[in-house]
Formats: sequence, structure tokens, C-alpha cells
Amino acid sequence: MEQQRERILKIRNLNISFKTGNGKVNAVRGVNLDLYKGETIAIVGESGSGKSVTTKAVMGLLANNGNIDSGMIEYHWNDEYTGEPKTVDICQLSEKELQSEIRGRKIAMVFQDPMTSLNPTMTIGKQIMEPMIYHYKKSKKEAYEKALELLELVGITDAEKRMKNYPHQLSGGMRQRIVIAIALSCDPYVLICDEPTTALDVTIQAKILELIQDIQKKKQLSVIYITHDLGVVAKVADYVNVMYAGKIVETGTIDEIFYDPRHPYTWGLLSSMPDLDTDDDVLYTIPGSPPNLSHEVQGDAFAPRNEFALNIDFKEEPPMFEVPGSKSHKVASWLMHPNAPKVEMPESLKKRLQKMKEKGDAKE
Amino acid sequence: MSKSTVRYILRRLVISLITLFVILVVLFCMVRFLPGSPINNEHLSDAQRAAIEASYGLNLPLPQQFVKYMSGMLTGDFGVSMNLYRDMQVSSLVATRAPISFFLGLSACILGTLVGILLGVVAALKKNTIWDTLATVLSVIGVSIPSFVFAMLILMIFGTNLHILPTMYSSSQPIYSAIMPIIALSMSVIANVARFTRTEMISVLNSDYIMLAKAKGLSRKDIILKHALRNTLIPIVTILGPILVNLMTGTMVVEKICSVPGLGLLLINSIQASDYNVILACSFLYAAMYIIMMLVIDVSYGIIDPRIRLGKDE
Amino acid sequence: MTQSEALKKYQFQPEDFQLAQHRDALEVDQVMPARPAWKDSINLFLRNKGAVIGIICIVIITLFAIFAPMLSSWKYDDINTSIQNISPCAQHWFGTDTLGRDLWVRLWQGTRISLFVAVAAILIDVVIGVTYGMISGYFGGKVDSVMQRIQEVINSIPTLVVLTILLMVMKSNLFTIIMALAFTEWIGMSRITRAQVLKTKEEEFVLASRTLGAGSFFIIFKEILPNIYSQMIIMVMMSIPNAIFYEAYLSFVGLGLPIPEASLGTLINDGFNTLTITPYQMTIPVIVFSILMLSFNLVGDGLRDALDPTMKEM
Repeated sequence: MEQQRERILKIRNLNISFKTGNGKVNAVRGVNLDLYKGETIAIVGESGSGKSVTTKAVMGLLANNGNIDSGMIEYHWNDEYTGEPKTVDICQLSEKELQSEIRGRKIAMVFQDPMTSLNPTMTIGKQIMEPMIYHYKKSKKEAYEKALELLELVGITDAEKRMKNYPHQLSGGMRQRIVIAIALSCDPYVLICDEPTTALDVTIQAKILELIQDIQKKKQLSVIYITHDLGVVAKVADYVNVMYAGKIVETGTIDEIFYDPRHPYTWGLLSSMPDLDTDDDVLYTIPGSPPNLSHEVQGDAFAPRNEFALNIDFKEEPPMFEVPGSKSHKVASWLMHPNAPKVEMPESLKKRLQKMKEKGDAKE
Repeated sequence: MSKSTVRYILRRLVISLITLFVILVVLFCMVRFLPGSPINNEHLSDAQRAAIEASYGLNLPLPQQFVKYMSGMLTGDFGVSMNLYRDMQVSSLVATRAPISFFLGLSACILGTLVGILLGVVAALKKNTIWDTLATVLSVIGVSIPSFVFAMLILMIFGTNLHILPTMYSSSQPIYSAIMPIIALSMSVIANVARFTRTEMISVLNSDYIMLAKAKGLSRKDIILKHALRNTLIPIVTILGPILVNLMTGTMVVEKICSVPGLGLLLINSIQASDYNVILACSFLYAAMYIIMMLVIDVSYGIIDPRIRLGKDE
Repeated sequence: MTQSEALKKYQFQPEDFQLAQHRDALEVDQVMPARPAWKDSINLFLRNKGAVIGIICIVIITLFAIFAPMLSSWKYDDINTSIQNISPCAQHWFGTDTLGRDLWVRLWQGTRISLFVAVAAILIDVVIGVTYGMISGYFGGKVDSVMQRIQEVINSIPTLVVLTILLMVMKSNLFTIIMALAFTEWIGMSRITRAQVLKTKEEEFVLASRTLGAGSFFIIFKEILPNIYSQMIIMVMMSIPNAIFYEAYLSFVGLGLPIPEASLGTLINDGFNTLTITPYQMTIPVIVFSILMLSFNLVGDGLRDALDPTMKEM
């Protein structure tokens, strides 16, 4: 089973910095990431943790002042005609190649705010047909047919009428469906969803997530979710990467992260997730604020906010420790070192996770 | 066009007509209260003056004069000039001059808008480069310095010193001698449009939908031409109103400087000669032109921008 | 690289794996030292080179306008036909005009009048605008809609027509020109005020104090001024060059200050009449005029960027 997994994206030691008025900001610091065909990974973290920047780099869409300092983003695919496997490093591609080969065709993106991500003065139909006509030189008629199909796929009724509408005539949920349809228009292999439901009503959030999952199954897509909402993660992801200050601090399968978290930051995230079951009066918050990445980070970036910080955390950056007994679960914390004192997650979190587990089991 | 659009246009039309009527009443009353009389020849005796005034209907009570004037106006009769062009029909005076002013204003508007858009787009695309700085400096100068200064400068440099362009308007060369006033007038239009376009374009380029267009894998050329430009240009319609006001004031002064026999010069001359009917007709025409243009601008904005639905807001 | 290999490069100290007891320090959130908003604004403003240059120019020109006429041995209205049209020389730094008046003194006297007219007009228009907007917004309902319609009608008459007519009815002198200019620019100010009043009226504390029986007019008034002061300053800075321009425009049309008085407008107009013979008579006031216009616009831009957060750092 393991051998059959087909790797699509392989990110290694990715470092990205931005030049700003206040000096150089190291937004992403040595990220490693793998994405396999048909699977879903989630990148979780606070705002400014570098999760969006990482995925923008995958699409070659960094802002002008951003720069990939080192590392590689390898993309693997099978040639459309000959079927032979191919590999490119996205970091090495020219803007022209990125634009005509990668964006839209191989990797597509769904943005956070559907209210602003559609062109207000172009009809829905045109916006969906545009990439097909551009990339695949389809005729207007072919593109129109395909656009209708796509609209039906994303659950929009009355598709023909909607094709002639302008974005402002549709609701937020509808618009996000349109954005998804646009993303799917060139049959990409990878779909990046950047907080796809944050701007939507709670009632619609679940529907959009289900829609993306449905389509993923139908089209064998690989999906990257970027979110700070652990609820979304629990619903959709196969693998979870927890990011803090431009680094991945814990990675593992969904069960490993939710039922056996090892990094104090992950504990903090899970504890601060509001839910209906806990009767705690006070919702837990992680003390302090994320570090300023325009300064050099000494040791573990999370140490100043970590109540379980060790002395070494202030001196040396922890490497990725493998959690014994698992191939996928890795944690960047000195607490994992054999010499470290045994620190358990807070009692309240333990109870909480226990409850979640029972509920999860009960559902199945 | 939807029903609400039609209703909106009709409503605007009615308001415009009311405004025009109010302006006419106010203008008429004010002009009648002007100090000095158009019949100011000192050789006339009081009796002779009264006779002349009576022949123009100036001895009648004000409301009666107004009714007479209004009814004449509806048939295209704006009365006669009482002083400046003795007994000539105001309508024919205006009819020969208005087209010249209109031509100047329109050419300056078109030229200025085109050049302004070009400058603004270049500045936005090459943000924070020397081109951007240059365009910004140019537009600040153009916005602050009124057209008559430009007219004088061009007149001095190209007319008096280099003898490239004629210093005076001549009706035998209506296009050639209009070059100078048109350029002078277009400066403020260029500056205003360039400035607006730059800001608008930069905010459009930073918008999410441009990011989505990039994520679609469109080329930079397509992104700019198909997505950014259209969204940048639509709001330019909104600044055409203020530009129009500038242009109107501008034409008056520039016409004087370049001796263009347009509406502005006629108004200036008639003010100095207290020529009631001419002042009235010119001012009214300016106001009417302005109101009609504003109406056209508003309606066209509603038509070209799909987001604006005319008549729904109120 | 396996895990054990990776760990080899570290040299561990014995105390490394002890908990760093720093729980007390954890609770404190790092907060940026609070800085008052006006300090930010001043910094932003001072970073804008154009605005700083503008301020410097305005200060220098104002100082000259105040002191130069006092310090010169000539007077601005001394007519001396024996020294007509002298080119700039040691005695008459900027030459003399057709009536032999010293142009150095006249220039600064004119600048003084132009600045005075503009500033006075704008201050009055702020008062008119704020009062109109306050009344309209505070009373709301019918009063508001009537006042808004009136404003709409006034607004749709082009400034040049209003100015021309007003000044023809009232004989033009310093006072009437100030009044006429004040009358044309107040609408922007009244709009800002009205919008702010409408917003403030709905706020909790106003409703609260009203239920307690306090008169809300005073509360609103006290609340509104600090909220609109930044917009007000921007408006004032943007309107001053407008007023200076319209004053010059009036001189051009022949509705400027009466004869012996000097303003930038009358100087430019007089100089224009003899442009081909004595170009310096026009060029010098045009230069001062342009610098003044440019400076006010630059300062206005700088203030807008510094004070209005919605326009900040595009």
C-alpha cells in the first residue's frame, strides 16, 4: 500500500524572505513537505506563520519583494501523451514557464474571500471559460459546454442563467463555488485552498468543504488546505502540518496530531479550540505573540511562549524528532530528546482529546 | 435597459430641468439688479434713454419681462444684444461662438484623458521607478498650475519666441491655431486623469481578483488588458465631472489669452459691457452644458459598470 | 540523515534539559509602546519631501508678503510717470509697471492680498459649511431633505457662473470677493459635517445621554469637531489654492479688485496686456503664483496621506 502512493509535490528546506521597510523578514525557514496523489494535507498555524507564503511559493505567486532564498519545490507528473514520469523544480522555472505550465493547469488555488476574488466587471461564464481558452486553446463552444458542466459539478443550479451573471448578483457561498469551478477548469492535479471557508457563513462552510471533498474523490485531486481552524482540519485532512514562525513544528496523520500531539504549540492550539462540550469558563489562549521574524531567531522560536521550555530551547533550534513507532509523526521539540524530562500534555487537554476520540469512534 | 434605469434617468431629467429653471430665474433677477445700464452712451438725454429702454422692454415690471423672456427662449429667441453687438440676435451670436468653445473643450478632454490614462497606467505598472516619479511630479504640477499659466507659457515660448505656433486664433486656420489652447487646456485633464488612474490601477493590481487571474495562469499582458484595465477605467468616469468644471473655467481664460472668439470671450466682453441678454444667455448655456454633461456622465457610469444599478439606491 | 546522526552535531550541557522556569514572564504580552496618532501623522508628513518643500515655500512667501512691502522705500500705489516700464534693476528689483509703480513692492503686496483673500474666504466657508451640515444632519427629516435639495441645485451651477453673477451684482471689492469665494466652496465641508453628524447621532453615548434628558445638540457638536478636524484640515489645504486661482480668474474676467489695489491676479492680468513688450511684468507674478499653488497642493497631498488612514501608503 505504502509503495503505491504517488508523490506529487516534494518541498525540501524551503527558505523565503521578504524585503520590507523594516529590513529582511524570514517568513519561511526550512520547510519540508510532501503531497501524495489523492491525499489531503492541512497546514495549520497562526496568521503570519508562513503557511500562505509557502503555498504562494508553490504557485510562483510570491509578492514582488519576496524571494526564495534556498530550497526546492519538486513537482512530479506523468506526461499527458507519453505517460512517462517527469519532474521539475518550481523554484527554478521562469515566470513564463510557471505561468503557462504550472498555474491553473497543474496547480490551482481557491482563495479566502469569495467576495473580492472574482472580477466584478466580467461575467461568471467568461471568468470560468477564460483559462480553458487560454491554456487549451478550446473553442468558445467547447469552453462553454465545459463551464456548464463545471457549474453543475460545484452544485450551481440554473447554470446557463448564472453564466451571464456578474459576481455581485451572487451570494458568498455561490461565489466560492464559482471560484472552485474556475480552479477546476483546467483539470489541475493539485488544489490549494487558502482558508476557503473563513469568510463564509457557518452554515455554508460545511457544504463547501463537502463539495471540495466530493470533487477531490471524483477527480483524484491532491488538496492542500491552509487554515487556522482546527475544526476544518479535523473534517478534511489526511495529514496535518503545524506551522509556527515559518517552520513546521509537528507533522503527522490526523489521528496522530489530534489524539497524540507532542509539541507544546500543538497542545496550545488544541486547547484554544472552542467547542461545545467543555465546561471551562475560560477559553485557553497561548500567552504572548508570535516572534518578529525580521530578527534572527535564537533557538526555538516558540520557547518564549512555551511554559515547558527547556534551557536548550533558548540556545539551539530543535531538529525534527521522529516519534517512536510512527513513520509519519515528527516533532521539532527538544522535549522529544531522550535526555529531556518527561512532560505530559495538560490534564484538561487530555480529557478533551479523550472526549473527542469517544465521539469520533461513536460516529463511525 | 431595465425599468428602474429608465425611471432613474427620467427622474434625473426632471431634477435637471427644475435646476435649470431655478438657475434661469436666479440669473434673470441678478442680471437685472446689475449696477450700470447697457444703455450707457453719455450723449443720450434721459428721455432718449427711457425710449431706448422701453424699446427693449426694460421699463416693464420684472415678472412681465421674465415671462416675455421665457416665452421667447422657448422659441429659441434669447433677445438681442443691447450694447456689445448692437441689436444682433443673441442666439446667432452664441451659435457662432459656442461650437468653437465646445471643440476646444472636447478636444482637450479627449486628448487629456488619453494621455492621462497612458501616464497613469505606466506609473502604476512601473511603480517606484523613475517613470513613476516622473509621472507623479508631472501630475502634481498639472493639477496645481492653472491652464492660463500654461497658455501664457506656450504662447511665450512657441508663439512669441520660436514663432512655431500662431499667437492668435484665426478663423482661417481653425485647427492649426487651436493647437495651443487645446494643449494648454489638456494639461489639467492629463494631470487629474493620470493621478486617478495610477491610484486606481495600483489598488486594482493588489486586489484578490488579479491574484486569482494570476493563479489561473494568464499572461501578464492578458491580466492587465482583460482584468486590470477595465476595472481601472470605469471609475475614471466619476472624475469627469470635476474635470469638466476645470475645463469650463479654463476655456474662458484661455480664450481670452489666445483671443479665441468662443463663448468664454463673449461672456467676458459682455460682462465688461453690462450686456444683459448676452450675459444671461452665456451663463445659462454654461450651466445647461454642465448639467447635461453631469447627467450623461451619471447615466453612462450606471451603464458601463455592472455593479451600479441606477435607481435602486434611493 | 537519520535522527541519531542529526543529533551528533550538538554539544549538550548538563543543564540543557532542565525546564527553564520562566512562567511569570509568559503571561506578559509584548505590546508595542503606545504612540499617539498625531505623532505618526507628523512623522508621515515629514517623510514626504514634497510636502516639506511646500511648507517651506509657503512660509518663505508668506514672510515676504508680510515684510517686503514694509521694508521697501516704495509704496505699492505710488504712481510715477517718469519711471514707466523700467526693466528689473538695482533700484527697482522687479522693474516698474506702465504707471511707474515699483513691481517688487506690488508683487508682495499682491501676494499678501491674494493669500488674505484665500485664507479669509476658506475660513468663512468652513463656518458656513459646518453650520449648514450640522443643521441639516441634526434635524434630519424634512429639514434635511429640503436643505439637501437646495445644496444639490447650488452644486449643479458651475462655480464660474456663480462667481461671475455674484460679483457683478455686488460691486467687486476685497469684502465682496471674499464673500463670493466663500460662497462657492462650502459644499464639500457641509457634506463631511453632515455625514459625521448622522454617524454620531446614532452612537450609544448620545442615545444614552438623550434618554437621561441631556440636550444632544451640544454633545454632538463637541463630538463632531474632533472627528472631522483631519478632513477639515485637508479640505482647507485643498481649497486655498482653489480660492487663489478663482481670485486670479476674477481679475482676468475683469471682476477683480478695483484699480490701485494689487493681487496676484491683477498683476498677472496687467502684465499680460503688455506681454510682448515687457514680459517680466507678467512672468514674475506668474512664477510666484505657480509656486504658491504647487506648494499648497503638495502640502494638501502630504496632509491627506498623513491624516487620512484610508489613503495611507498605497
